[in-house]
Amino acid sequence: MNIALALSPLLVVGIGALLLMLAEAFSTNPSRDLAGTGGTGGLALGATTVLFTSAAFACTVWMVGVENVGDVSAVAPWLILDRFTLFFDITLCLGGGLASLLAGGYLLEHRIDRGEFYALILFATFGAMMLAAAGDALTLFLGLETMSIGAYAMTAFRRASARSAEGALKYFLLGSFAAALLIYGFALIYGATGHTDLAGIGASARSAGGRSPMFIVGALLVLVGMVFKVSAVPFHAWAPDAYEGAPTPATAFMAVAVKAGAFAMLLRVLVLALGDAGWTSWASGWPPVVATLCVLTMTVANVIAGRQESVKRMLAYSSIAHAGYLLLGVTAMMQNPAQGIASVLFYLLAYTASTAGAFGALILCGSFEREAVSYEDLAGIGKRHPAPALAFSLFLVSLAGIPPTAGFFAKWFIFKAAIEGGLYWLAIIGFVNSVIGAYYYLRVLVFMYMREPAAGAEFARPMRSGYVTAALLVSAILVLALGLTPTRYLDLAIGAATFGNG
Amino acid sequence: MLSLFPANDYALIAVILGMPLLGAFVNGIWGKRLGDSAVKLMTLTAVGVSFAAAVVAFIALAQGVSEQNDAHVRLTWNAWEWMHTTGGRDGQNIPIDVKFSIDQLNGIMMLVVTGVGFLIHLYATTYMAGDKGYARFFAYLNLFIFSMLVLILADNLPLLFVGWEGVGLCSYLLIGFWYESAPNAAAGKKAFLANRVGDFGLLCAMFLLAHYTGALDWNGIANGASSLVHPGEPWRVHVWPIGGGQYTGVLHFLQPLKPFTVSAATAVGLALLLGCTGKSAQIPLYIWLPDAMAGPTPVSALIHAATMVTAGVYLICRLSFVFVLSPFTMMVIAIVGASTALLAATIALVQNDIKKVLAYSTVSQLGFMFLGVGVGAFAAGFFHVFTHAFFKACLFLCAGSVIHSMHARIHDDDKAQDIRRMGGLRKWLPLTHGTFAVATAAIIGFPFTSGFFSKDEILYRAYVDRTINPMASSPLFKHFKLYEPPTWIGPVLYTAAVLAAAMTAFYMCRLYFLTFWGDFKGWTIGRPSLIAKQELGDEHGHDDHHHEDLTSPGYPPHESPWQMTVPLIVLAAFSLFAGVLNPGFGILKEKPLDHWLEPVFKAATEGAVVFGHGNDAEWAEHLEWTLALGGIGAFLFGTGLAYWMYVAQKGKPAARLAAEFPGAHQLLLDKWRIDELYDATIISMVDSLADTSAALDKTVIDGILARLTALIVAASGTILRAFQNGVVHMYAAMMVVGIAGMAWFFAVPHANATVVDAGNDDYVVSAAPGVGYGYRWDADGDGLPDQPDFAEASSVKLHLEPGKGPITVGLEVRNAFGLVKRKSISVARPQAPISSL
Amino acid sequence: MQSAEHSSHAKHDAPLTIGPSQLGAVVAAAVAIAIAARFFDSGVPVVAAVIIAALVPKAHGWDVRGPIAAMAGLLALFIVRMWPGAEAAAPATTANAANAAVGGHTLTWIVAVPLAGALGILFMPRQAHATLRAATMTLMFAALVLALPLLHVSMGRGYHFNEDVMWMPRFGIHYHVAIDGISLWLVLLTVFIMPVATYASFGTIHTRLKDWCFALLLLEAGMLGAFFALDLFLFYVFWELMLIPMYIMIGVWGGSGRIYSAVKFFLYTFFGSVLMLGAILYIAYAYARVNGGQPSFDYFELERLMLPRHVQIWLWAAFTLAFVIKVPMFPVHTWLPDAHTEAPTAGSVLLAAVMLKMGTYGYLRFSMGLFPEASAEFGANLAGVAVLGGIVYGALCAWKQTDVKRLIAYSSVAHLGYVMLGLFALSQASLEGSILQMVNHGVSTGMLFLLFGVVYDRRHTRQIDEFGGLAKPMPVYAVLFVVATLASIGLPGTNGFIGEFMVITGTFASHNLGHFNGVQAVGAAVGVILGAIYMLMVVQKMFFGPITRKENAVLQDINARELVAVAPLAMMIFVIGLFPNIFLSQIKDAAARVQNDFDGRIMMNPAPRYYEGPIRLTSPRMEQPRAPTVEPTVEPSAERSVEAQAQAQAAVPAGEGH
Repeated sequence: MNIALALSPLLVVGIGALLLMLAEAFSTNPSRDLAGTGGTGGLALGATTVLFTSAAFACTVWMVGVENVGDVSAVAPWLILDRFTLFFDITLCLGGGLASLLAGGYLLEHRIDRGEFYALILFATFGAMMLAAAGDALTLFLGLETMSIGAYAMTAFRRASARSAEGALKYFLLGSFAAALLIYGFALIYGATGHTDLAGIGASARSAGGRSPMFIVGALLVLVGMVFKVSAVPFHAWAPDAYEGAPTPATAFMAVAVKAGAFAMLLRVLVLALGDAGWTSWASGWPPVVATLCVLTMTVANVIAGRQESVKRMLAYSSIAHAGYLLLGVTAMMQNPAQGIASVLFYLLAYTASTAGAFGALILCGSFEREAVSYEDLAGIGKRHPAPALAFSLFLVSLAGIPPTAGFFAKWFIFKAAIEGGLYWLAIIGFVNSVIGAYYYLRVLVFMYMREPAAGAEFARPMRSGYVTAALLVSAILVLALGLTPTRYLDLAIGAATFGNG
Repeated sequence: MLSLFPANDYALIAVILGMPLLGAFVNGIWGKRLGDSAVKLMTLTAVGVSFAAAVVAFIALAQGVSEQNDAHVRLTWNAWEWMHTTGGRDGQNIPIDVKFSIDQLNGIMMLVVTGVGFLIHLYATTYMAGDKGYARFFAYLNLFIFSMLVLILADNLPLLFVGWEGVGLCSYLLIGFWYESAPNAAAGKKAFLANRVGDFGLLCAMFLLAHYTGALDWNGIANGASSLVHPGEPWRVHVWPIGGGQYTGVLHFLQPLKPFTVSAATAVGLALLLGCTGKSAQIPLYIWLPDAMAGPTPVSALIHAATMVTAGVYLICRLSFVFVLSPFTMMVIAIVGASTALLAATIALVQNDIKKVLAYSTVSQLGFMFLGVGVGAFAAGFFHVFTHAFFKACLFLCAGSVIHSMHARIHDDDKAQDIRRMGGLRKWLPLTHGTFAVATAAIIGFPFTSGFFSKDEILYRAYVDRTINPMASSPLFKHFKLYEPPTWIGPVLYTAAVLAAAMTAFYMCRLYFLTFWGDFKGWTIGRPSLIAKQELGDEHGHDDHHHEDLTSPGYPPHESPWQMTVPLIVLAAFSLFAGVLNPGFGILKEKPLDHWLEPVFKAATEGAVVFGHGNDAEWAEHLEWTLALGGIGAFLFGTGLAYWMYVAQKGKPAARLAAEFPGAHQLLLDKWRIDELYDATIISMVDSLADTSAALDKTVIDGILARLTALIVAASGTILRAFQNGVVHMYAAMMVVGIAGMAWFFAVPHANATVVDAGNDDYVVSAAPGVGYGYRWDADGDGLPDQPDFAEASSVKLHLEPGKGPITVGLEVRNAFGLVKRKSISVARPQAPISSL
Repeated sequence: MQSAEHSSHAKHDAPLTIGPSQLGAVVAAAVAIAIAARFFDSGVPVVAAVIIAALVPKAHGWDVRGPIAAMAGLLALFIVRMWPGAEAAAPATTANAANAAVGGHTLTWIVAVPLAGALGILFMPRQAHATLRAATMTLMFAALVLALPLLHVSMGRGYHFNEDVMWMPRFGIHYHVAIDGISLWLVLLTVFIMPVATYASFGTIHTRLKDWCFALLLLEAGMLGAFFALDLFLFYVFWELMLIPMYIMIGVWGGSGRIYSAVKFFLYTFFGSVLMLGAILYIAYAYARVNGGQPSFDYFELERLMLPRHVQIWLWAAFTLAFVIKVPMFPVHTWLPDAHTEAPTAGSVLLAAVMLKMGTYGYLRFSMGLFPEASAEFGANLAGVAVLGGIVYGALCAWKQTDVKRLIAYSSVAHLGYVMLGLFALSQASLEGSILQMVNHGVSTGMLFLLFGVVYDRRHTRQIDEFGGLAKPMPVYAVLFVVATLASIGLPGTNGFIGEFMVITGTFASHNLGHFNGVQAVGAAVGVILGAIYMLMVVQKMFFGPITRKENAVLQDINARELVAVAPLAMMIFVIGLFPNIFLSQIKDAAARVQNDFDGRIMMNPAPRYYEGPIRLTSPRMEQPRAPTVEPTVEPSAERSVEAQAQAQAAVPAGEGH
């Protein structure tokens, strides 16, 4: 065994991305038109295969045991290869794979099936995986930018649409701003401590440099950069516009993989670099900051989501709100890091399946030039097309956190961690928020099952796509599996909840 | 007999009860298929067999009584275990069984109910002939007999309540029998609701009894009754303030220093009384009975005159041993009775509807009964129940006969019952006239009729009797003042009763004379006139009426068939002669009914009911004849006045009086406007309370909890959405605000500390850690820092001796940016745990 | 001939005719009696059945009389077999003990049948209405039949049919189900009323029948599971499982304002339940702190926790809020009128009959069981709310409603006020009365909703003013409605009286209401008057008086299907009213246990009555069924159902997508 096996998930995605790009560039598909659309079906399958293969490699490594696959410290501290990384590899590849399956159906249906989308997905996933593994500020930034640039490009993918371009531009501007803050923050920290690796930064917390104002300012800036990426209020403003403007598979990818990558980064940095008593103090460290952001994020996102007329935009706000619940788990980390991390990990897995599924169901409910966006578009669909409606309902019920679905257990573990950590008020606010959340998720059910389209309006015409159906199947199975036998998945999350291989 | 059905398992009761129930069942469900004649057969068989079984049971009872030397005999039958409840002062289980018993008291009731019931059924089979709801009517009527029998035969209060509400239900159904007319249905509802108010009282009485006596069956209540009167605090019911003055909140000054309590006996008695006033149509709940005359006439006779309305008197007699424990309640019963007798009599003076007059007369007579039992003359009161059942049933049935014959001419319910349109009917209805005359003689107290004896007994006892608390001599009450009714109450009650009796004589004779004497005035209304024709066409859709040739004068009123007259004759005979069962004035050596009932009331009356003037029996005996003069005088005066007014002067004085005092006349005609008073006060209060509640629920409760919350969430969503305006500057500004907030948090020092008990009276105060924080302590509480400079030490240890007061520890925190914050922490020894558990 | 019967209000008396059908009935009765006599030593039930069949008016054919006779026979059999003391003759005590100890999978089967059925329904063709109906009814009867063995056990103080399997060891989550005398009748009420409501609904629900059957079965599984569950986590799962089907039922098949009502229903209940979820989590991890870090959600374990006041109050409040919203109690009751009004008939029936009981049952089992001190502290005040806000205020509001279903909904608020009052008072009689009243309310209010559904189907209006004089065109219907009304106002002899009487007398005898037991008992008694006011108002306006609208004059009387659906409820009204001891004998000891446990905890602690000190555990209770000592394993049936569900969900999109 050698280090290559340990790195295999990353390598598979990286090499796969390159190959896919080559294949796309050299393919001479006659059906391709001037705009470059057409004939990308194989690419979607390819990208999915690559990502699921990577996930399979990650699973293999997990089973073999990371500590058994050679000297994983060879790439440390730049890349940390532990079960945490593997868990994220699996989650990210799952999210990316679901997104590319969705893209396979969506791009074709909406006549924007240009092959580079899949390469972008692969590269962005690669970036996210790198981010999850990063143990050093440099690799971290590298992964972040790889991921972000892919996401920017995917957001702008609908070239004909002004909204798409607008969303991408906003995303790019604000994202660059945040990235700049992040890298500037690391620079300051390096100045204060002389370290770029996270563990080193953490270790120097007791030193003079670790207590200097420069370090604190740097940490602040890093924190801002990270919460921007997880789209916490008030750093969330880009998200709805970008999510709405992006083609729906890209939205799904951003809501799922980008968010998961960002949380991986957040967890690593907070635990490794800012994990000492001073920084995790409820009086003056990051927990109260994260808790405040958590409350703001949950409340503001839920409240606004309830006022949306577009289901896609509602799902965008919903993904922000879920970032709020995840931040609750992050806050709970201050008392018991393993507990908090495990809850966040499980939540991310459940959230990935549910959200990708929800976006997939939304895609399935629309068709060419009749993309389902608003609530009205979904009216009566439960009666005419029960299958997509049923799937949609399942994912929404999961997002609302009603048993016996994945979302319920995800919330259960998060709130369990919070209550065990003594964060009663945060938990209560979270509970109340989940009631508000239930309102707008159920509103979709209201339209699907209990309303007829307005007089004169046509019924929605769902598209037909094996890709999307496959994605929904995978998500649905996961949502139910996580909901009905959560223990085994939670064991995985708990197993992944420690850094390093100790 | 008793060998076949042993007294402790007297299953014949099942037959008495079961036959009417079977009749109700068969007629109710199968009636339409069976046809009218089969229904008739079924219903008469049911009540007839029940009556026969009741006679058998009564004979067995009499046998048992004579065998056991006039003891209180009970023939009981325990059908099945029903339920149980908790009661008694230590919360024991109180079984409540479906158990019936016959004793001297309800044995007579049982005979009256089945006997009079049978006669009325017989009458009704003809009276109701041809009605669409024939089977339904008899199903209800049989169900009523069943419920009434359950009421009187029940061996415990909850089972009595089954019958109690059952008769109320039947009354409701029968009053609204012709439900297509809205007023009938409304009258039924009114009756049920008034009864329900009474039932509320009964329900309260039940839980009080269960709690204080630990039993709900007659024997158990009798055994535990003594605990209803006790000077001790837990045995008294706190009326005001609620909860017995234990309230210590802001408004405690509103509480009187001395709480107002009553004995449990008084509370139970008053609650029971409320129930009895509902069922027996006494003040304040009498209002339903006159309206109840909307039902078919046999119903009025059976339910609203002979049986159901006497249930209240029966209950008072049944629980006499509870009532006598509270002389106050007894006095209230007597006053209620006397005032009801007076009030109803005044109203009856001027009513023109034959059934209304009889209805108010019923209310008035029930008042006499209440007066009787209220002064402790339970046997006398019960005797009046007995005689009243005959003469009032007879009167009502006669009235039905009259209406029947009038209706054949007039076809209008209201006009057929208006005595101003009658007159001279004795010519056409000789039998009805005769029986009516006999029954009237009985009710007005014509000497030596049944009513004469029963009423005079009540008048006499009202004057001479006096109720005192039987527990008064108990040593428990040595230092406790028990209530005693004032001495003037006897004469006042007597006077009121004599007045009411005089009025009774007047209005009954007025009714009699106007109906049967003089000239028939119905010719004019029977005549064809355009208005009458129109009215007929509008108001009545009966098929047979349309065929009538309205241009001819029509038939004269006619006598009823034998099925209707035979019951009249039997009842009239009883009205005349039933008095021999209990004649006063020493006519018989011993009053048979008093003697028969003595074992029942012995427990109650012993020591509780005494004669006035210091229990002076001789004084009381002397007064018997004197006081009878009042009753006879009332009879003579009332009858004479009525004769003068309506026969000699042909009604002119009455018209003159009405013209002279139009206000008073109208007030009496409007029944003192008591209904209106209730409408304006209690009913409208509850109504507006309900309106307020409904409005409150809709606007405030739902408004705040559901709509306002939703509105707030939605509105904040709208407001927050405004920030999401698509402009990048705004987004960047939001980020900057966020960064500024976070920066402020990290820039400002936060001084927090926790105190931990380290044992050995040591306490460790530790400051919350922070990045780059320095700490400076003031552990000795002198207000000055202990060390000159900020240091790393984030905790300080204190020693606090037991009994020493709190120490104030000062903490100064300086963060990496050089900003300083102070905080004082007070360290005190915690109080010792309350228990060592 | 039939029409002649109807118009025979004139003089002619139709003689009692004996036709072939009657002769056949006599022969059949004789044969049946002979058979029954062999099996049951007495022909009582069959005789009863035949008599009832003969007594049903002729207007209905044998399709009605047959089922009703069968029901009557079964009820008679039930009374004979269940009569307290009947089992004393047989040496049943040892058998009972054996039953209790063995437990077995009875309860699991009872839940699994509707649950699996719900999933199975998803695979059935959408258009096959007859098959869907038959399958649903079969499954519900199967659940009913499976539940009957529960009656064979004398409940006593303990729990029976205990099944305790470790489900998620890491969290101490068990699959723990059992029933005692408290849940027994609620379970039976559920399995009894489900087929009734379902059968009634089949006449009116014609759209999306598959979804309807699915929702009904899922609802049944959820409700049964919640009554069975003795693990808080399991309870919560079932509790939430009920929400979605009911939400769908109101929202899809409801009236014009259905969406508002459905959402309101969902949000109200969900709000309460998420806070309860928080409390469940807290208490499980409070347990972990005194149990070496191992949490538990098991009711019997958590019952042993001694919690200090400030903790207990919050937990109690979270649980109680969830329950009183469900009950519902003032002031969180306003979802109920909306939900009832808009729900389809079967939805209203199930909501009233079973779902509201979830709140009262939950309060009794969990709030009072886990937090006795807090329940005792606030019980007296809440009893005041139950009397003023429930019994009195609910009745007053009901009186002023113009919409019949709204009125019945407010009457539910009033009736459940009695139930809650009985629970707060917590004396032996009031507790038994409350539990019985839960069943009573299910029967009588369920019947009222079912009956109102009959005219609603004909007239499609709920306004009282739209009716009037219905007794003339619909005599049988009127009789049944009056019967249900009388049960509702608690006329003695009907079921309502027993419950109310026991609650009121028990309240007066209570020691748990401070000094206010008297005034609260009187207040509850006032409700008896108010109840009569509004119910009689409805009856009078709907049935009596002249027919005010033309369309009412030609209304059809209750038809065969409706009559068959209503009949069992009508029978139950009298069975409970006349023979309450059948029910009380099973409830009695469990109620005594609850009271003893409660008083035991209260007495154990000194003056402020709260335990003050660190969280700690007491010793286990006597009645607690022992958890199996075998190695905890994942429950196999749960595993199976996971796969089945996953397949079900996966197969549907695949099947429909192409």
